[in-house]
Amino acid sequence: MMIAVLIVHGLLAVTLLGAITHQCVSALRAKPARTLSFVDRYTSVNQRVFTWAVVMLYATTTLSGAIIYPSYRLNVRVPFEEMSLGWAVGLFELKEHFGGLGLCLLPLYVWLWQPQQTQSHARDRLAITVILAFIVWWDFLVGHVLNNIRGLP
Amino acid sequence: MRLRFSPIIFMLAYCLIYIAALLWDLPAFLYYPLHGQLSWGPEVVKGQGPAMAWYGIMAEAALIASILAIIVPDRWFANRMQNVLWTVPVAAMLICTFLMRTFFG
Repeated sequence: MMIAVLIVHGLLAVTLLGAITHQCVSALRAKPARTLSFVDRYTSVNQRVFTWAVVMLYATTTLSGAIIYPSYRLNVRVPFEEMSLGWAVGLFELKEHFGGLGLCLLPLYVWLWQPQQTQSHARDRLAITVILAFIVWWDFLVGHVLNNIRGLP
Repeated sequence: MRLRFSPIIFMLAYCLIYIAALLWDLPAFLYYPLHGQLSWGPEVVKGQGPAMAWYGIMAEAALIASILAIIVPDRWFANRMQNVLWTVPVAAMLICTFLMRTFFG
C-alpha cells in the first residue's frame, strides 16, 4: 500500500516539477518571444494558467507525502541513524520543513498571480514563484536521493 | 459583515508560528507512528516509540494563521511590505537550515 502511495507521490511530484518550472522560467524570461525556437516556445506560455494546477499539485503531493511520512520515520530514518547517516536525516528534515512552509505560500501565490496585482506586486510574484520552484526542486531531489539510499519496504 | 481572508497575513503568521514552534519545540500535538497514537502538547510520552512533531507544527501554524488572516486587516502590511513579502519565507527557510545544522556537523 505504502509503495503505491509513494509511486503516486513521485508521479505528482514530477508533474508539479514540470508545471512550476515552466511557469517560473517563463516568468523569469522578461523579453517576449520573437522566433520559433524551442526556448521561445517554452517560455511564451500564458503563465497565469499554471497557477491553480500548481496549487492543486502542491497540495496533493504534500498530502501523499504526509501519508507515507510515518513509514519513512519508522523504516528509513531509524536505519539512517543506525548507519550514522545524519546528513541524510538532515536533508529530509529540510525537505519536510521547506515543504511545510511552501504550503503557506499557496494562497499568496494565487493572489499575486491575479490580474489586479500585475503592476503592484511584480517582484513579490516572481520571487514567490521562484521560492516555490526551489522548494519543489529541493524536495524532489532530496526525496529521490534518499529513496536511492534506502527506499520504503 | 463579509469575512475576508488575507493571504498576506496568513503567510506572515504561518511563517512566524512555524519557526517559533520549531525553535522552542512547541507542536500542538505529537504523533507516534509505531502505535498510531496522538498526544496533545510537546511532552513526549515514553514507551510509544519515535514521536513526530511535523503534523502538530503545521496544524497549529495553519489554524492560528487562518484565524489571524480573517480578523487582522492587511492594508498596513500590503502597503509597507509591497515587493518585500518574499523575504519572510526566505528568512524562515534560512532559520530552518540554521536549526538543522546539527545533522550536518
